[in-house]
Amino acid sequence: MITYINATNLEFSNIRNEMYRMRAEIFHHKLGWEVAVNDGMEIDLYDSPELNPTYLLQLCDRSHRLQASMRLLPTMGPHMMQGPFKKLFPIELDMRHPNIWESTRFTTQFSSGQNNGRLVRRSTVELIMGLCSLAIDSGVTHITGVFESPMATVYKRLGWEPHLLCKSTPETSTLPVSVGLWEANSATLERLIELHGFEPNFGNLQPNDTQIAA
Amino acid sequence: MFDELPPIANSKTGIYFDETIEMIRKAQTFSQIQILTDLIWSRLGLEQYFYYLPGQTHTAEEDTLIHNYPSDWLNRYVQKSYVDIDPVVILGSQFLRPIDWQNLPKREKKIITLFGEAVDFGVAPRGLTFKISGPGLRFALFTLTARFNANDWELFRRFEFPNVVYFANLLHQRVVDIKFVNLSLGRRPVLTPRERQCLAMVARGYRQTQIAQDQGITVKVVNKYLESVRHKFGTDSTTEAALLAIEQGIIIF
Repeated sequence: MITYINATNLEFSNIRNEMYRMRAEIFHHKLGWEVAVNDGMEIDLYDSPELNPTYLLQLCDRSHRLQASMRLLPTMGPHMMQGPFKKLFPIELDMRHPNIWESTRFTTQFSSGQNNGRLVRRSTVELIMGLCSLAIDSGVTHITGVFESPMATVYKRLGWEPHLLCKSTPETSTLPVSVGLWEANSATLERLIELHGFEPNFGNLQPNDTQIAA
Repeated sequence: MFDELPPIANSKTGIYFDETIEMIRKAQTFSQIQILTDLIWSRLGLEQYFYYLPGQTHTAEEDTLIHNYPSDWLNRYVQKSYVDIDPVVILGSQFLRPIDWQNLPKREKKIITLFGEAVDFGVAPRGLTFKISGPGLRFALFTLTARFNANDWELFRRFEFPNVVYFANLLHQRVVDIKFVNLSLGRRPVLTPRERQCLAMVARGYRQTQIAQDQGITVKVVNKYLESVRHKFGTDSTTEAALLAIEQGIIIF
């Protein structure tokens, strides 16, 4: 199931905190990225209520357990490419455009081990479908984001290949990263549905939905 | 990038849309902006538009409105203080996704009254309200209305709406440029090295005790620096100051 919340909805604080905890788990504990973790949650400047980003969430249909999430910001306002990501690349990229959103902090609950490889793919694909759907509804035509360069092949397999705008150099970033620009329109969504054989299921969360233990 | 990337080509308005876009970049007054918007609206078959840039109390900047709503409706709206209960304003300010009026819950009596009166005063029944972001944390709300049937509305949403979003952002940029030139606002604040260092650490998520330790000063002194920073940026929020400083290249994150 796909749904979205923002940083200030008090009634969804439980799932939001669950997302911040999932981010801490993946980015800090698993990948060892340099991110600030307080009280077990990874929250940065771009999560602030003043900026009020939108979080797209993918949940298990039955239990409403959080499985994947991402953060969305309009590129016409403050966004990460304008801030901490700038120094990772040899050229300055101005991604500001009314029809482009930036996607960051893309996380999925499952490790891509053999047993739940298919689960990863399904949650990721449903999240991307949800993103395309939301973008179409909002008059957005493209999504931009920074990703670890080897992920390019994963995106190709998922059927949502980005245009590569820029790559980091060993001088600008020890971790090889790339800036991508993805199309998000009805043709993209239809192609994903055809490729994967299912449609995204948009739903509503009950306020402070209690999660059933997995 | 905004200057180079044109709106998507899939539009029935064709070349006329492009010409008018160029003209809006050169508009010198709000009334010129209004004339151009009227032109585009008639080409797109839309009825009304309402651009609302909330003013700022701490700089005594007033609200900016550019619209073609019936003036009777505007008077009524102000008289009844509808801005306090209008779900379009409340929700439109919160979400990235546009508010389609037909999807709004209309269960409360005052909301039903509000929408009923709008129609009585001549506001077209189909409406869409969306947020325009920037500069910094500022934003404007933009509304469009139409008298399309369901099918034409769906087609509009899918194929024309991105162009309208693009246009609305252009309009907003122009308004901001005109306003800030007139009010001499938007001067870049100058921070001392200490102020810059403290603000940069706040941006990276460090707590005040950590900043104090790192800088070899007391927490009280850190607070004094941040207070000065907030004052220079004209905000109550250290977060807003940090985001603005990053955007203006004053601190490198």
